[in-house]
Amino acid sequence: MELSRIRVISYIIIGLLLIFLPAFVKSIYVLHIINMVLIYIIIVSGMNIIMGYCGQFMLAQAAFYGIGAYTSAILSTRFELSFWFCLPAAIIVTCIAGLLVGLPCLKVKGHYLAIVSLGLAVVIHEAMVNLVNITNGPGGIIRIPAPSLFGMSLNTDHRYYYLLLVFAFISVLFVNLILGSRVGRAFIAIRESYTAAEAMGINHRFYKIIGFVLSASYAGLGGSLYAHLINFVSPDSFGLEELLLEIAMLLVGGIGTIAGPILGATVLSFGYEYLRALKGLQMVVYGLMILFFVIFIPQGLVTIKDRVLAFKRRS
Amino acid sequence: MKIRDFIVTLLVVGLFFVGSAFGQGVPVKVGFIGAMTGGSAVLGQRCSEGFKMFWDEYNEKGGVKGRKIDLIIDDDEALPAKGISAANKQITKDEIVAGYATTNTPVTMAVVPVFQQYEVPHVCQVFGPKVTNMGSKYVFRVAPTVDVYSNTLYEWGAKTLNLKTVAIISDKGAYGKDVGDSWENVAPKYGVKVVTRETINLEDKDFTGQLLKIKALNPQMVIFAVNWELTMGLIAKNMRKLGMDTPILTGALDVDKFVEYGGKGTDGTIVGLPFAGFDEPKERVNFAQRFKTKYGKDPVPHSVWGYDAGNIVAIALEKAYPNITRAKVFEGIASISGVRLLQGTYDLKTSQDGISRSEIVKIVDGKKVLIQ
Amino acid sequence: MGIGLITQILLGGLGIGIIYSLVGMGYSMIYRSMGLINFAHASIFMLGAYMGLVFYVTLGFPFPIAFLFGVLSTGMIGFFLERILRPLSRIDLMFMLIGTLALGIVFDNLAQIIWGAEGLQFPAPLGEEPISLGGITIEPQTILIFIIAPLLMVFLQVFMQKSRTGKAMRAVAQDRETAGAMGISLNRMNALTLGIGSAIAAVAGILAAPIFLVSPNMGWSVAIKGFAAAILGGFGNPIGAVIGGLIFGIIEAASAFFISSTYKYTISFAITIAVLMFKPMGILGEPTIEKM
Repeated sequence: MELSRIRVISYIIIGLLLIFLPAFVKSIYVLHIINMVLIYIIIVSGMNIIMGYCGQFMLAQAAFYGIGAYTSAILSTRFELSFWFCLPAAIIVTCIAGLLVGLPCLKVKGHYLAIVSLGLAVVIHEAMVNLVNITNGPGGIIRIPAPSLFGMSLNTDHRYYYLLLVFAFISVLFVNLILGSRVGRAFIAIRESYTAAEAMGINHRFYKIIGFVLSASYAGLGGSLYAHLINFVSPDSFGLEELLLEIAMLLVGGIGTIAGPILGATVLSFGYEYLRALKGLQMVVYGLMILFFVIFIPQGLVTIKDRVLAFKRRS
Repeated sequence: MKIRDFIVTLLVVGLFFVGSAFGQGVPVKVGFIGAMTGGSAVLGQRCSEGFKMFWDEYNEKGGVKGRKIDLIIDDDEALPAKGISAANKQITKDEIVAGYATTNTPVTMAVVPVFQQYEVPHVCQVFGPKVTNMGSKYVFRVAPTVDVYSNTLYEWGAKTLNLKTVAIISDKGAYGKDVGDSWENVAPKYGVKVVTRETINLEDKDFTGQLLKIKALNPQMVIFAVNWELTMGLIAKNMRKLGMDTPILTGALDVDKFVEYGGKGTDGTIVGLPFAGFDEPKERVNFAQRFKTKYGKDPVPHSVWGYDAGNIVAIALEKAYPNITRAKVFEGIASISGVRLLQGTYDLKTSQDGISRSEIVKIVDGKKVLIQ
Repeated sequence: MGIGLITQILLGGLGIGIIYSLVGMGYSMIYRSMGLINFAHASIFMLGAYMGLVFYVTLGFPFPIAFLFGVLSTGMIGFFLERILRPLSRIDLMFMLIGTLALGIVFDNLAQIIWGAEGLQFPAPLGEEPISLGGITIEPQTILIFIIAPLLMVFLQVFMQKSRTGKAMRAVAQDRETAGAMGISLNRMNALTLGIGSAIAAVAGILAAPIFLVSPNMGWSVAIKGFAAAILGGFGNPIGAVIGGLIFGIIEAASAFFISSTYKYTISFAITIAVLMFKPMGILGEPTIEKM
């Protein structure tokens, strides 16, 4: 059989497995983790756009995640708007935030960009805590309604899975599309060298802004989906710990690759749960695990297959 | 997509399926979910020590009519998302019949719907009033809510000190907000005016700006709504350094630790406590001794909350025996009334907030003096 | 509102700010010599405090000895860390961030396992009683820090500019290949850098310990702020770190008093960002040429 036939058949198999997954996985515990993985695939794929492809050290993704979640939460609880309105609204609001945060970020690079984006993320996080009239402060927002599709409420992990699967799939596909497009090529050119990009006639400020807004939109999408899955949002979920987790997923999986975010999200989410068995040592081993991956497999787990092959060839 | 990416995706999907091979659970299982690591680790450790001690002793005495209890402890890092996955795990994988969940208000609020959905009863000690008002009958509280402290202390203050003005210092977490709100909202009822409310972060180490502002407004007392004795101690020290001798007013904390951290700055503090200390009655003294033998340190109020929580679940287990199901255990807990345990007398029948009295002590030279 | 009040606010801000400065110095120094941004720095700060605690309280050594041993032992830990972190300094910023952060998580949790989550007392070597000078009160520990910090700053400047090791370190940071070609052992230099940087963190940790009290998460209060302070002043420059830290501390205290304690954090970071908009390399600028 030729390669393309194998490819088509394998796509069909994977597709079927993914579609029928909830039938095989009875455990809510596991399915919920899978749902969170799908949300992280979206968020981390977005972060990959600005950090991996465009090479900008932008650390505000967790804050955008929070903006998306809070927007959706507020619109659905206070104004009782349908999820199907809240979701796009959340994405739009996050895009605007991405623009506003991106503008000052244009002026700085490297670790200065890190501190500026981090600082803005802190300001946003503080807003979640302080603007009690809008966000309800540290107590968070409860009773966020589950989405309803054709009269059926998506209030179980099994049903929500399909919603997430669709969005995760579209998100990854979209990253693929961007990569192949002019925008994607501009991103990579900017990452490699500003001067060369300028010489080619690429306005790096313009494309960087697009990058910031695009990644933010992914986080906004992920945030809205998160809010209606957990039915509760609070500022704790969108701070520094969240940011570090997202970056770790990106690096462990493989920065600048399509499959990287998928692998990273899966390995770190399941890894954390598997490590519960270690009780007191869970976090220590978790940290060591991330350290190990980053030091020894900096290109990410996507390259495992190539490495194994290379190893075999050598011996 | 390249072949490499396809194989990767296959691997990933495979991981999903490996996950579904998680096994089923069996005997009597009780869970504990709390902040065991991270910034709130102190809370998780203290509560779990008490809870675990109860079950260790209970098992030694034979468990529930010969059946031992399996205690499963999970960390939620004080993060709602982690709390939910821990709740899912304990409820659907470990199959606990009841549990302690959790040690922080936002995490508890996130898991209440999960426990409600599976009809699993759970106990907690968190102060946020909303927790028992979310529409779930399955959550029970073993500590007095903050309203109990603010009411008791304001009433006493208005009566004995002619208290008219206070300042509030609250932390920026859920505890600070809920507790601070209570102090702020209840004040007018007793004719007390809140001159200012300042906020701090739990990890802050310097409070000059906030304290000087309070000093300038000269309230009669300063109320602390801060969730960590260490930070409270640092604020007290800072106050002393700035020459402020305004007495401090606060509810529910470990006085000994506060005194240890705050030194002389803690003199004159008025504290509302669920119980004055471990010097009496006999049961608490005994408990403190056993605790010290087991853990090599003195117990704190959270130890008692954990212990009593365990006791409450055990009572329900015995009522449910031989049919130890979640529904029966829930009924068992919900029917507890007039039961006297270490902290005091619990009534979970009329209210999900099991206990609502408070004693008042004053710190004099580092020691507690009971004044009400 | 008297001069006394303003002075007290300033003092409070300076008191905490100088600790940010000390932490920032460590960040700067490691960056300047190694090109690495060590996000485990705050955890090493915490470890240094615990090391000091062990020597001073548990073993009962007199303070100067405990201080010395604490700083040296932490420095040694840093020295040996080089072996682990070696691959990270040559790759992207992002790997440094996550690698060192993961290390930080490991340290934080190990500290909690060893010493427990409750905070521990660290007796102030010069006593607890605040000293009163004409209406202003200041703690003896703060005075001690204000004596040691500038000494450290001067020492670092001189070391980096004048000493052979210092020059070798800067050569490595500026141009690895040439430095290597000239016979400078890159790994040895990095190990030294990490050792010295960790020692600086320990100095900060032990000096801060009586004020902060020692707990596994004591580094979090200074982690981002120390980094921000170093960048505000000009990353890589020890004098910049001091300036940045002091400014940061004063902004915090002043905004809590004059504006609102709720927005203290927001204001400090907003100002830092604003400054960077006008001076993208920090107030004093960066001493080394940054390789992009």
